[in-house]
Amino acid sequence: MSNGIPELKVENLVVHYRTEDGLVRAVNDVSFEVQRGATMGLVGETGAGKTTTALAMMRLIPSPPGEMVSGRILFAGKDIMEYSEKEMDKVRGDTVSMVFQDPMTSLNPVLTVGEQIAEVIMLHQHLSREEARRKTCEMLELVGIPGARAEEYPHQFSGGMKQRVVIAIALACNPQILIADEPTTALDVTIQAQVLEMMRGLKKQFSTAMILITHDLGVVADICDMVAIMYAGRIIEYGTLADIFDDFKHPYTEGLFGSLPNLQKRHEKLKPIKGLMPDPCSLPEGCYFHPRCKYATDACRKIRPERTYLSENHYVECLAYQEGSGVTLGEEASHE
Amino acid sequence: MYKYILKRLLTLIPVILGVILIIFLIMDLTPGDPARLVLGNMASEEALESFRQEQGLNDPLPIRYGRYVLNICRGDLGASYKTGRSVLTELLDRFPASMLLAASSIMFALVISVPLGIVSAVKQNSIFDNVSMVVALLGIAMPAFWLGLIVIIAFSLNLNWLPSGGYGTFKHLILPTFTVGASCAANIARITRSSMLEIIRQDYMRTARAKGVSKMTVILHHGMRNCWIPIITVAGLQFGTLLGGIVIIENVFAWPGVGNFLLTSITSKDTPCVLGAIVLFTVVFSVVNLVVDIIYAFVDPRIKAQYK
Repeated sequence: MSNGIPELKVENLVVHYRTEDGLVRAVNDVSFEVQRGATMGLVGETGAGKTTTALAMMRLIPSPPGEMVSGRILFAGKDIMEYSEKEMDKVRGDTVSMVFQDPMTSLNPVLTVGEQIAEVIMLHQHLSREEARRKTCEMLELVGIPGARAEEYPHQFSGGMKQRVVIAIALACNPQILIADEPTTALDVTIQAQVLEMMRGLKKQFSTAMILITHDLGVVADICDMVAIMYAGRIIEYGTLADIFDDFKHPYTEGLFGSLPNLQKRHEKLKPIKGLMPDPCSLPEGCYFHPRCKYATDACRKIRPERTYLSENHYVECLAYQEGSGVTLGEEASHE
Repeated sequence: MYKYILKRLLTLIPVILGVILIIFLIMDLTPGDPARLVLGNMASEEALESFRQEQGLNDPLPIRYGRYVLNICRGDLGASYKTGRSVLTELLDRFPASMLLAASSIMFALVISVPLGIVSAVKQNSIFDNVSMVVALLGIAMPAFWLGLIVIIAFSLNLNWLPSGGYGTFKHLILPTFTVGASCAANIARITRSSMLEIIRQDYMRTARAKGVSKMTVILHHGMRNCWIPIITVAGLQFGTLLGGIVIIENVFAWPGVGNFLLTSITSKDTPCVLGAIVLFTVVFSVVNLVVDIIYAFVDPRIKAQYK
């Protein structure tokens, strides 16, 4: 890890959407950092604010209605919130790039995939048309698509291949930071494995810092070094892969793992987390998770838990771990 | 692609046959005797009868229809009842003037409306957007003949800037072009705006931004490429409305085109001229729509793949 400065650091990020139905608090005070060559998994249910966090890192929150209320985003120590729109255009696609969720709609239907890959190359690497074309073919081959297909249009590709084209665009300029928003959700399982394998290879080859947004814990276990669990726009637990998978603390994290089928205990029923994510227009008082938490006490309904560090890299936002709160998790708390 | 064009050209044949039939029926069902209209009220019954015999007006409708179609196949559109001149020559004399007006109107409409629509979409709900959409609504709501009279009063009579009618110089073209193009421009501006608004929210626009493409380039390159389909669709349809408008507007501005000719021919019940002019309009409209369909293929590769 180079000179201790993380490749990507997000500090106290707050993002709101002002809509006619009221203020949508999508991201509420999110902080994390990702080192060079490391991968952080950003896990949470639909609507937890994962994609908004990712778009904020690209400074691509649609505005209006979106608004980055406060917080800092640092790429290798430089605060990109201070960049002008023009400077930001130089950073996007070059220093940081993003793989979007839905490959079906992420590519422009009227441009060839070659044009779409070449565009990012010509924009940032200032190559000639001919060189960009060669690089485009190389990128396609890298993601397992014959270079000759650069002349074809997105509708001539299958979903999995489109996603690989999107990945090729994201990787074309060897970004230092790659944000992958559910890159495998739209793909079938065999293609999923291929895409993950490819991303793992790239991480090794280029030491890219990577953020993997997913709700698939299997994928996280496969590829991530750090894991952040997001709920209602907050990171409620953060730690190394081992911390989160073997020593999780937050009742919500516990609930997430409880919702997974267990191959060893096939006779056991799944234990889904009851209830729904709170409406971001009217978040509950106290701990955001308390309406669904089976250990919730009166204190949880009133006091917003603070970040409590259990070790250098492992923190949790739950009153049960906060000194002096008087809250404890009941008998059920000890997992396994 | 060529096969597709050929197929489309062949479908033109039944369309024209149908149009001719409809015009035949309408001309037959409307009151008024062509012989009387041509020869005048003072003409003798014998003269009228011999005119009818000569023009074959006494034959039953199917026979007249069949004869007309056969003649068209030989390039003969008949002769004017009134002047006796060949309808084809009459039309060809006036066709360039009409096409000039039609082309300049649609060009004017596109040049004004497309940028207007895009800026309105990009600056949605701004003052610019609101004002231009109100103006567009006015443009659609105003009947062309009324607008024509108003601009004549304003720019010819009061300001004395432009000629109120006639043909020949660029100055003569300005008012008719504006009058015919205004409602087209309004329609195209509205469709451009709404299509662009939809396109701006597409995922691929975000992908392009994430590549570091500037906002302006994303709109003009990635957005416009997708926006052309609805624009040219509406422009093609508007061309039909525009041909209809031309018939009236040519009259308002004394423009020596096919529309003006058609209107005088209708009032004098000069059936061969009416038929000829309408067949010409039909062919022009069909060809324009074929051209629109062909342009689709160049704009959108997904449509090209379907043209076989």
